[in-house]
Amino acid sequence: MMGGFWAPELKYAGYDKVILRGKSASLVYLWINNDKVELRDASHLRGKGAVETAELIRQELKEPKAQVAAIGLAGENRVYFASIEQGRSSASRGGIGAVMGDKGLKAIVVRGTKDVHIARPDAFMELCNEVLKYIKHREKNPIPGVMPILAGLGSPQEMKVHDEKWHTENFMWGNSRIRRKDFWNEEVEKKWTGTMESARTRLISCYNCPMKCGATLSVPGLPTYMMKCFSKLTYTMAAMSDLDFGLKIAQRATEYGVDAYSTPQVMAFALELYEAAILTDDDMSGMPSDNEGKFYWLLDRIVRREGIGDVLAKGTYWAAQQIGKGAEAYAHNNIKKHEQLPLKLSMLNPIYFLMYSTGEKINITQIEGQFPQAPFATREEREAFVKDWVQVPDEKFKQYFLDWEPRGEKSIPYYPTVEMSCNIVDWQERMHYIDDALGMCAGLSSFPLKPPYHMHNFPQFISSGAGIDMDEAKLTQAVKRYRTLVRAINIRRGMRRKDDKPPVNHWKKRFPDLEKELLDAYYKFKGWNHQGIPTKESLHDLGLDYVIEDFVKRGILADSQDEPAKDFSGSREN
Amino acid sequence: MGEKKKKIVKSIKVDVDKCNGCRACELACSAFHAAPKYSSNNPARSRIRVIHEPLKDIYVPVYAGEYAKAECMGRDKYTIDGKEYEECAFCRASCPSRDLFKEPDSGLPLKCDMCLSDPPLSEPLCVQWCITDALIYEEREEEVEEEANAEELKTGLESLVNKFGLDKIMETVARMSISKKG
Repeated sequence: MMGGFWAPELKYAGYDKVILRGKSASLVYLWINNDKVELRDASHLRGKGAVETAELIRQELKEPKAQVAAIGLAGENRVYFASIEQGRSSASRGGIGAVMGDKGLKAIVVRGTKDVHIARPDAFMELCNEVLKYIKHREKNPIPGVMPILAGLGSPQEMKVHDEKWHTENFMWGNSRIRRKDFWNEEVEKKWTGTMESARTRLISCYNCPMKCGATLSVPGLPTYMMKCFSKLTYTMAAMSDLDFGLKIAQRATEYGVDAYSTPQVMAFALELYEAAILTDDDMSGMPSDNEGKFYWLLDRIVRREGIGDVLAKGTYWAAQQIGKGAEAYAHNNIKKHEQLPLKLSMLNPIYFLMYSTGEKINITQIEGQFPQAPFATREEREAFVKDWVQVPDEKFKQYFLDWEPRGEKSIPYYPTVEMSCNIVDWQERMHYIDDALGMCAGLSSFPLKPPYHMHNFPQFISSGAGIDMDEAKLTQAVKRYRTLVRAINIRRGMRRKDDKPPVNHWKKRFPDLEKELLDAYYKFKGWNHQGIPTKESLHDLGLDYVIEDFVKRGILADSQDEPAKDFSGSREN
Repeated sequence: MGEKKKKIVKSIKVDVDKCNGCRACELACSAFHAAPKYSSNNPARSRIRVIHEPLKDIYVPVYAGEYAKAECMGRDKYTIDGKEYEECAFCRASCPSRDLFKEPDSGLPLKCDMCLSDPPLSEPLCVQWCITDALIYEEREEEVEEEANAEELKTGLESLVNKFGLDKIMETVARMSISKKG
């Protein structure tokens, strides 16, 4: 999720997790120094930027080596898409920063100087050496036939790669509206390369990682900040501007602590509403006339929750509900009320249909990864690809891919078949949940193709590292339990089949019968009933009888059967 | 002139421009020196530390050198390529002015031993784990004269005489030679 240095520091302080309960009356920060844990006053940090806060706390504690995860103004003001920032990393999706702000917690600061013990050092080191060797091999041998940013390891190498033809011409600009098929040319490439190279002082790693996914950015006249991945382009593309603007506004957005997927789209959405006269001059009173100025102005209003910003701070879904007057149609790029990557495609892809519809991490990059996004053109290329595909949990996945053609009988939307799609999605999702359970970065396992960590060596790492007796079957079951619990929590909050769907305009060519069949089959595969609610049988198999009890008590599952006790389709959305 | 002897000089070249601040060297070092080997890791015990200030783009891997009883009187600052470094950023001493290169529980000083072990490693573990090549191990053979330089010896002795007096020095030397022969 986050990367950086904070989590390892917490482990060296002797903890695996921090659980926060309750609320503080005044703004505080949590200072964890090995065994000493205290809440300290943070009233002097109110309104400070997230990066700024980290520096101020390190100075005040005289602990330059302390790691700080902090919120900015957006979190303090409970903006629905506020992030928690930590160096080049952030926990953004789902508005987790607003939760911290609601609790009155400005930052969590950690310093740890204890040992982390390894259960079976020799076996563990052997695995580490194998992985390191494999990473070096993969770095020297990018996967042919896929986009440069998908050919290597790590999170997409946005800080390193200058060629943005793929993103700028295939992803949508503005409020996920406009595709600019001939955007990328030599002139743009030269200009943007220059912008990046003059701003970027260094490519940087997270703790003990050979990848360099992040970068330190120093835009002249602005404080230095750090970035990784696609935040590079989201502001640029939402504002129909250039990279120079994108890197500049991202600096302010990082200090405010906001999600770089949602925020630019919320701002572009507001401007669309204004152009459509749904938002009026009164709503936008004080907004500058230049395009880029408008984005800075909107960003400031949102994080301060002033005027229209107070409405926009809830994200496009809720803002549209509140604004009314047809604004709902402009909040068009959401899944489960969250803004998505700006992609609009032609032909429905059955694998992606299931992932978009049922993923509960609210971002496609948090469920995809292990299976190529598209078929390779020739059988020879596909054969070459599967040759060293050791990561597959079962040989059948190789056959799925070998037979997958760009067009003809064995192409999307009917190939991979419903059954194959269920298997492919389940495998891809499983790897993300393993990462989350272990605290692993997706960049070296669930996200890239052919990663160094996979289904076959994870159990060995867990066994030799933590001393927990683990094998593939046990790990699969543990992760299924975890994933089902996440589902159960959302079900308890009202989520049902009606919410398991992609943005309505994500694909031009839709296949309602096939989509129904896919969803039915996948629910069954996962042990959920036709509403997407985990069945009693599957909950029992996973040792989650207390969830059954809770569901029956709440009337989500009936006492006698696995059907919902009452119809929730019209229940409040919350 | 004294007899010329060959000796192996081990060194690690540090390229601060290549360091990406991952601190794998710290982890590897502390794991290697754990007992039993690799049974734990803890950067606080590492004999190499990356002095880093990310927002100033400063990353300097530094190896633990000699123990120093006292901290320096003054501290200089160096500006290199527009970046201001504290003198301590390059200093290898385990000294009272900072918490680097000390066992976190006992406070005892740590010193890099180039991963001395039997059988020997091909190169120190931190170098093996640094895949950006910010750390490069080098061995070179040097011919050195074994005999001490008489001038240097005299200068050193004179300063001791100035401090403690000739009698005390002679007394000490006599005592040392007896205990050695004894």
